[in-house]
Amino acid sequence: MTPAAARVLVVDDEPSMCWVVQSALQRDGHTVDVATSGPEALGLVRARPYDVVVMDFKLPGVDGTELVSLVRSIRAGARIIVISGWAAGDKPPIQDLLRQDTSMEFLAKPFLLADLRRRVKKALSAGTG
Amino acid sequence: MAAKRKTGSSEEIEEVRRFNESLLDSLPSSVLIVDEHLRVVQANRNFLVKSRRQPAKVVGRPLSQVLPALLLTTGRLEEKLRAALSTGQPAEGEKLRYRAPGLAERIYYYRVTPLVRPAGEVRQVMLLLEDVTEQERLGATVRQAQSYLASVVESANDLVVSLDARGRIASWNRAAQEVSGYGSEETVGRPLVDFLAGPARVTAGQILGRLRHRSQQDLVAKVRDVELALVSQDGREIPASWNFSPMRGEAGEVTGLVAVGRDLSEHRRLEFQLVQSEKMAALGIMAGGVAHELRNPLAISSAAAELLLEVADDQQLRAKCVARIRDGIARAAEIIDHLLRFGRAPEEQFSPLDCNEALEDALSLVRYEIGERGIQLHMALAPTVPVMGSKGLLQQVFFNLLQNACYAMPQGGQLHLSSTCHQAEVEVRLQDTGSGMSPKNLAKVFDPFFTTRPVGQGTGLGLSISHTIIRQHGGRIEVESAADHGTTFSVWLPAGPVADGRGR
Repeated sequence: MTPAAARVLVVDDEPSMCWVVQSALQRDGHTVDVATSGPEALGLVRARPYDVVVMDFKLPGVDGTELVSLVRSIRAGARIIVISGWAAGDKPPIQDLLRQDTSMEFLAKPFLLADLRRRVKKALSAGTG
Repeated sequence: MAAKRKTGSSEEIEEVRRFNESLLDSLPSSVLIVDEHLRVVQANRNFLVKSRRQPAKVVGRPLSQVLPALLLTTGRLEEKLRAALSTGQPAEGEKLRYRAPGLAERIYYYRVTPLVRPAGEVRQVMLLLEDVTEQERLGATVRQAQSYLASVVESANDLVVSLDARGRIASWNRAAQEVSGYGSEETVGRPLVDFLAGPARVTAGQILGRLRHRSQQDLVAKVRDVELALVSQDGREIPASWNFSPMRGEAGEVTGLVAVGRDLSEHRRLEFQLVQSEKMAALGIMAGGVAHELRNPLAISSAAAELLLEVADDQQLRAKCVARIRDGIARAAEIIDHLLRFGRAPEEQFSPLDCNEALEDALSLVRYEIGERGIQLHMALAPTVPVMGSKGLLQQVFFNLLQNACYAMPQGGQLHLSSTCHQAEVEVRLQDTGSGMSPKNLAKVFDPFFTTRPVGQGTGLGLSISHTIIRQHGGRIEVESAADHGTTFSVWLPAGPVADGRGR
């Protein structure tokens, strides 16, 4: 794996969203898995050492805040990028998380793929470099 | 007169004189008898006591030395006595105000009566003076109290109307005049029901009849907070809330009724404003939710469009991107569609349908959650439950109720769903064995924005909207709950015609 390549998990209950993000990041050379629910995502996080987790905040079966802390507890070094239909300011829990965890990133939907890619790259250099 | 008879022994004469004297002395009024020179011939005990004089200082003296000059002049007593002496006619009783130096004013009632002899001549007149100060004061106090009460009633902001035992208006205060536009002269004597709006007349008639026929022992009989609309002089219907109480005579019999009404127009206006502002707030929340829902498909379309740009060589990927873009747009359009349907007047969408279908459709949306939480589902549905309504809206109601039930049973439990056709109504019941609610929370359960869930997990609008939807369908939602003993929601709807096809 080249130094610029990351192991990425994309979590969104919309399969189409997962597909687009996965396709774009794979084109950049990253290894990308997808999950459409909280339990599925946790299973994967336990099984594989992801560098970056791109996750929606509203997921079936798990609360967004809870999922963030679970991922953190399993894989402390992973970069988390939240993508959400809520603007960060609309949603107090997202704001709280961003304040507590400055390494966390936030992108409001709809976002530019270019922005997401830049953040994944940045996360990689900060996390492993 | 016996005393003037020339015959008879001196003992008899003496006895008659004593009898006459004691008769005068026993009178509670002051009595003076004067001769034609206005000299006092006789004064009774009452006068002597009141004036604190000895008989010797009174009898044989001119009246001007016996009565205070001021009393004589204000009452023109001497003039009246002389007139009675000369004409033999009594003077009408009159009132006389007199203030002795250093004392409070006293009020006397006096009467001048000529003493006519058998031959018709008049040599003496009787002056009767009675102190009526106390009675006068009492009368003034009563009049003052009456006018005070009247002014209280007049200046009250509430409509105060008194009715006689037959329901005819006996008084109609200023507030009633201002609100109705009718003055007392147009209303007093006419039945109250004449001034009420059509439907209110029947109710009022019943109330008045009931109050009149209440037993006399039942002194607390009252009718509270009845809404009866008045019709004003210019034909407007004025909503008003009334309290009726019987007025009773000394024997406890109903002599009339007092109706106190409150004009609810302003109240209604504020209520309307409140509903409007609630709507605006609800709209804000809804806009937030809609924004979230729209951003998801937009994000897919937008990201897929970006990807499309960079994969000029890969036809298969390009086709997939285009499909995702179209899909996202179609979903956004669908959300907007739903939104418009939500805002439409519900009656236009009403059609005959089977309530079971709405319930089952809603259930299909929460099946995942029910399974996830380990909730056991028990169904007891009637074969069909015909109602008139909007399937989409009823589905929304059942969805809200089911979601609440799931939320109340995070560790699983029993969920009983049943539907029953009663005669004119149908009932859909959702019973859970979840966390239940305290009486305090239960009271607020249908309030907009009331939620016990953590921020972000409930808008607090679900039950409020459900309540509104069921009301629009002419039905009601009942709720029973106890903390840790689960909650039961019963949705009651008017029974509709049997659906001929599959309701939509």
